[in-house]
Amino acid sequence: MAKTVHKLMVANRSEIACRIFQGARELGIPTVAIFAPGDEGARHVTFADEVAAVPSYLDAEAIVKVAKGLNVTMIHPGYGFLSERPHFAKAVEAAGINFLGPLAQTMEQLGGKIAAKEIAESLKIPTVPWAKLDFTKTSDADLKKAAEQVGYPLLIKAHAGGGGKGMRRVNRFEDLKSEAEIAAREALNAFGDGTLFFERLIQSPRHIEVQVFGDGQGNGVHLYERECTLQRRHQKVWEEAPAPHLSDTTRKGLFESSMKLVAMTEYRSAGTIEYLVDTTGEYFFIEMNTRLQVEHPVSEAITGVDLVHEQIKLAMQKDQYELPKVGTPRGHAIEVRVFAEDAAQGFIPCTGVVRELIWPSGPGIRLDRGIEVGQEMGTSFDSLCAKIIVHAPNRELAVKRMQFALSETVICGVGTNLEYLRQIGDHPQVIEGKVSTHFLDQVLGGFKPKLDARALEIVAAMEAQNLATRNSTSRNSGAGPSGQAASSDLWSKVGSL
Amino acid sequence: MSQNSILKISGQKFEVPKSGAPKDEAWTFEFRPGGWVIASRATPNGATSAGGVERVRFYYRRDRDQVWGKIGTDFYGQKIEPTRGSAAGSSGSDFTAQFPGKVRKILVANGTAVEAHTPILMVEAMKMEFAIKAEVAGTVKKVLVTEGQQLTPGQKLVDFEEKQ
Repeated sequence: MAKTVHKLMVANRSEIACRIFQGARELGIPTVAIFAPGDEGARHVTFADEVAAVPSYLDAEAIVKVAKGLNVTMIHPGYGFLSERPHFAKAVEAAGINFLGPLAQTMEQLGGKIAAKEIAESLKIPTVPWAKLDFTKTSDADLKKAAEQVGYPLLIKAHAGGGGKGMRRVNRFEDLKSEAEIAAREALNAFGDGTLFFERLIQSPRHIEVQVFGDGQGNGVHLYERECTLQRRHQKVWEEAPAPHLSDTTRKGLFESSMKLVAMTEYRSAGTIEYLVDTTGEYFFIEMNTRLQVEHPVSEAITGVDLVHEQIKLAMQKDQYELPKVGTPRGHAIEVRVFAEDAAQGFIPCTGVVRELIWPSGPGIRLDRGIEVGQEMGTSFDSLCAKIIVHAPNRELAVKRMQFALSETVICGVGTNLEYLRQIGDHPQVIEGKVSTHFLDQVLGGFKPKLDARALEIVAAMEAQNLATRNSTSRNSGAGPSGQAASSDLWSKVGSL
Repeated sequence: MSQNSILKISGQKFEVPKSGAPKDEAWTFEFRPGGWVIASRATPNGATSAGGVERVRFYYRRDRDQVWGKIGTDFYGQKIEPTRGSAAGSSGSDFTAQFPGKVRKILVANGTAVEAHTPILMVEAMKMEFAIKAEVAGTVKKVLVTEGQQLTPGQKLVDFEEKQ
């Protein structure tokens, strides 16, 4: 049998594309990057052996066509964009190219909210207690019974829902019908479908997920759990592995449930199964994400497994592929997501040209980034600049290491959430590891940067001494006013990039 | 009436102590390779740090009126110079579009007096909605955009008069 000459395309951009290219290059596989209009200056474009323009990162047809033209043998979809679109996975494999992710049919199987719940239930995986109900046709007695089985407080949700529309909290039966009517109307207006279901509202929940990897034949391994409880409106901000303060019973249950799902779906490649865990340690399945996730580096840190390598090896070796041996977890890892957004003003995206970057380094620090000096941050693409990941022998040290890493990071030219992350890392509840998914919205909802008197004094003195606009190239202790004049020329050159 | 310049950081205003004051001279700055700056000064009486010198490693940089810094905290925003004959920072409530987007809804009628933090309009960008709020109490003299209008960065949104 002729040996296949492999070539990998990443159908994605920015930090995740760079990270996947690293994996491919380490395995000696040639690489292809794509870029959409307006993204020519992105960092990932320089990372690959070949580069191709596509009309959009969502244009499945164009991407597959480019891949075929360049004799690509595997496509990694990254996260977001087309990563969980069955039609893309189908088109890739129909073109005879390996899709580095699960089969299209697995995505379809797990895609719908209610379908995923039903699969989980068939495997006896706990789900948030719920009931599908037509509020107009059900008698009050049946409604009352169903609601009591689910338990109060409960949450009315729209089957076709999203973005909080059609969502209503109900504390007692007396309010159920009136709230249901409002929810049905909202859902009908928003989605053209008034179908509702309700489920128990888990109070003060934690978001815990299990990283899995399957060989596509029903075998798989888990890479332990991650805690991603620190979220702002469902956007994860700070992620850890393993989850602190989790009982062995809960942990064991989470892993057993997750592996049942992997076996049943004959899951292929990397995936994540998400759960809510309540204050008693009871856990409930929410959904399965059929992609490599943003926060995968924390699992790699504690297990030593390179998930991208495994994805590539599985596609290359097929039946000969052997799952990685996952030992006991080592130490504790934390990741933060650095976004170009103004955390104090409703998280509006910040734009600008990156002027200067100072990154942290040292023991146990990993940086996955998608930005370079001179690159323009617009609003056309995701505002994730970089992920800072730290790994330490224990959680206490990992938190301190993250505080250190954040204190060593400077991004100049575009506004970022660095101060928001810094304040998260300094919060006693975060240091203790005792938070719920409401923490960021409730406790840090009124976030404001703080500038103390000394900082303002230093700003004033820098301005008074005419040093604030000095360029990095003339930065040495001896530079005088003439150095500044030369530097302002360089400054404008950098600025016009 | 102060002539101090203002740092406007995420909608908050911080007064920068007046330049040229004797205490500015106390700080000396050393630009280190890599981008950091070391500020040092003789410690005031009673301080205990070694050698009687206070050292701070920080980052601060300005490009025209845009500033970025890391001095204990991370910050970015604008430096606003006092304008002749106006109170410091009165140029603060400028209501300019910071990013491309679309006006979703205008919430306040022309001529309405509003408290600080009152949402004036809703703007949609990157599939999310953002409230544009009054930073200080004042009067919405005129909303300069219409619902559904596309915004370009730098475009003025509201003619606003700060309460005196």
